[in-house]
Amino acid sequence: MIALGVLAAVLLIAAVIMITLPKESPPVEKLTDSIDLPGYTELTLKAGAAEQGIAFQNPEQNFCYIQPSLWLADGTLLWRGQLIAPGDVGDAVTLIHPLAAGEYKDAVLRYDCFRMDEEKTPLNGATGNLTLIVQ
Amino acid sequence: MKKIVALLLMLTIIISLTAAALAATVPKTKTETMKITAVVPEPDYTIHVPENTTMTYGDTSAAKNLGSVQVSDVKNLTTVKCTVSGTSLKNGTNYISIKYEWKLGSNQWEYAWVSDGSNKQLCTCELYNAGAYHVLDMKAYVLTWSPAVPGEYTATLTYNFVGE
Repeated sequence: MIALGVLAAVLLIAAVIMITLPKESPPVEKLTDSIDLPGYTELTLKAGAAEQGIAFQNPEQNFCYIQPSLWLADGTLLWRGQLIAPGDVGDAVTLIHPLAAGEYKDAVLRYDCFRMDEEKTPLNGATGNLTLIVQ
Repeated sequence: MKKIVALLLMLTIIISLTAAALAATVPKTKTETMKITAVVPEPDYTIHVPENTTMTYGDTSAAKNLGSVQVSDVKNLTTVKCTVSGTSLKNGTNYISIKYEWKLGSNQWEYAWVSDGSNKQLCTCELYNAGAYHVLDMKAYVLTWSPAVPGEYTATLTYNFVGE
């Protein structure tokens, strides 16, 4: 009877541990000859504020740094982020020029990409046109 | 009496060991508060661009595969277009002409020469249209390397995406 009780206890503990232990996610397969970048058609920003409370993430499968920057259609640089390692989220966007409320069409989100070597060798990048909705 | 004692003992063991297991596996509640300073906006689509290509000096034998451009995970958009621009190989004011070739899906290969230092628009292609995804393949080759002066030559391809 006691042996059965101990066995039941052991089984119960095993079940509890299986339920409560955090599940390990499978490892992400790294890209070797291409770069993944998030694309946007619009971003919502705060009017008259530098701190925007948004940030960009470098997809985990990438093998390189990405550096996002945000530009107005007339070529005005609004913000340039730091290099972001794969899987990391960059610093929050802090605008150089806070914007008045309104819609800013054909703004550009640009991604510069760099190899993770000492020289930080530049790689291909991409740009995406988007509308900034400032409110 | 023995049965009652055994049952009580079993119950005690189960309760105490379960409590110990829970205490060991459940993360401790942190009392400090975390301030969320930034939110990562959900992307409308994911861009895939080739990383880079090295061309060997003197190699005129075959077109160099530059890789594929495509998008995936498009959400609530009708089209995603990509405009590709390219420069010749350049080192300061020295240029080497490049012939760029591209093909969207099963279409025919198209091409354009870029001879000076300007950034020439090569093509605008729909990589996504109403649920259908298309891959843009890119190639390049150099017909003649002379009269290039020694040095490191770099050509740049620019990929610009617009989702609607």
